[in-house]
Amino acid sequence: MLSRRIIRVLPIIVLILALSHLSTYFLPTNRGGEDEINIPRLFVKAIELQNSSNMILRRIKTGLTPNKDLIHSICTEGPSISEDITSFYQTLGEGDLAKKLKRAALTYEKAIRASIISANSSSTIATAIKGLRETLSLADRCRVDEALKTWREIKPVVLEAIDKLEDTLKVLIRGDPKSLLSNEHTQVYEDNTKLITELLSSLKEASKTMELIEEYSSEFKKVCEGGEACSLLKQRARGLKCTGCLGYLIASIKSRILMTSQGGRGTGGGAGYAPPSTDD
Amino acid sequence: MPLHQLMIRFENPEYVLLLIPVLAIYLFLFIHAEKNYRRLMRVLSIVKKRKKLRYLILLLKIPLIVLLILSICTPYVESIEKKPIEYGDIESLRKVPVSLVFLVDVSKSMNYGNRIGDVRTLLSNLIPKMSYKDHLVVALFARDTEVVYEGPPSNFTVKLKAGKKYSAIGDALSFALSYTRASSLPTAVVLITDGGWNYGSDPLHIAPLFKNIPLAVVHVGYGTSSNPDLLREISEKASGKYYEVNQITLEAVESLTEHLYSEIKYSALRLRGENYVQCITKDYTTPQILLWSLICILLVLTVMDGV
Repeated sequence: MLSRRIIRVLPIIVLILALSHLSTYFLPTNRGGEDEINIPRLFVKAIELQNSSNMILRRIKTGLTPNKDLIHSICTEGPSISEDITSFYQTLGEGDLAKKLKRAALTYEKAIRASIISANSSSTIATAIKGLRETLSLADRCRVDEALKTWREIKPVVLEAIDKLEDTLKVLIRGDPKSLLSNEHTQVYEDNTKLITELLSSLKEASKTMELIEEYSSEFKKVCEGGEACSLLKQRARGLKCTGCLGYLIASIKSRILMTSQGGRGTGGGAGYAPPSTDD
Repeated sequence: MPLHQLMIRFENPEYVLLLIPVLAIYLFLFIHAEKNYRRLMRVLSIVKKRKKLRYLILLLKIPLIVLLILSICTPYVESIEKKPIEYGDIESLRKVPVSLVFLVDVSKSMNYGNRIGDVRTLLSNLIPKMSYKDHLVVALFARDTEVVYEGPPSNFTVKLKAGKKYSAIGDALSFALSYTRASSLPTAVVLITDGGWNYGSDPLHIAPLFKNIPLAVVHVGYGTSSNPDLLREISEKASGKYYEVNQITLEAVESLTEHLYSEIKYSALRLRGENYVQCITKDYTTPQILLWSLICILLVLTVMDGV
């Protein structure tokens, strides 16, 4: 009788033991030395966040709204990573290896700090790009008054965005991407610098274009009606650089101002039209 | 709002074949054990009272085996999410195919002031921006329209040469119209010309027929035989987009071509209601948790009778 009872109970005990063993899979894994700073992980995390910053900037460049989740992760995780890298930097002593690590740590810290600034100001930059795209499109379509009205509304945002981008660029310039510990990290850092520079030049040139239209609004209206621009406006227009994501709109406005002298474009009265020869 | 579609699939469905040998072994063991059981029954009478329960427990072992085999087949829940493409999201746009028809004017006037050179610059920047999934059609027109290339953008190698007589813009647009109507893919048309129409049907009569087909009108060059106003009118009547290509706008050729491509492709997809990307996600955890919960319950029930 006893052995029969044992036979019945034993599998249940085995099952309970197996299930309790299975539950260990759900327990948090042991992260040994959690109090110590895990330097390689910090460096990788810094670049990961800079990569997220690149993704945000690429979206802004194409006129899309920045990804809120990415902004949140940069702004919440970034400051502590920056602090940890700084404290690691302070512990480094003398010697070749220490010097190399110091340079790398400094650059990783710059990467994270630049990412935080650009993430914090991403909505301002996105609004500025969107606003400028709208105002330049209106100007290109010769809706000058509407374009100027929009420009006056967004001007403070554009100036703030330029300031923030300049701040980010200043931080990035202080780092040395070549000192980073992997080529992929260098690539991410350089991409970030390139994106910031491109956005900055786009905003600056677009602002310059709108300021020119604002200053010579009556002249520009004349150009839109098929007339020729005054020499001063042409001279100033020649100085506009058609760079960055708003480049084609700046170029289109520049061409509108300059091409009038070449029997070119204009919306009025068949400007620039010469009837084709019989078989042209 | 993203749309979801859920489906249960198996990563290794071939393992279901294991059911045949495993069930055969189980039946063999069951029959063998049943003989022993009956022999024991003659001696012991305790179990007699629970005969029905015993058979139920024995039957429960079959679903237990089935569930174990299903677990080995690695089931997963596949959800297909349709994410709408945002205007300007060129990365998402690249994931969906469209057919782009380029109508390039190769009349004599396109040689004036190297207009054809500007077209070459434009196309050499625009075509590499297209997705490998896209379908490219290049048709040259002067008096007649001739398709010189049809296929993936990466294989495009046609050399453009202008100098033919006449410029039948209207006829070229008619050709594009019939081509797009026959295409199964969302289609858009890019007309590249100086606007010096002097032959064939009136383009202004054809343009309104492009209401449901995106049309980008690209004006090249100024001066003799150039008519930007006609092209603006065509673009307005077709509710299309107008672009200028000249030495100044070519300074920003990268930004121009990126904008042109994303604008025309987005319009083509939107008009066909296909401006979304499908994201497939596989959830392996939920089905395994469900299966193993059932397995655990069945295991407890089946061992009630002894191992």
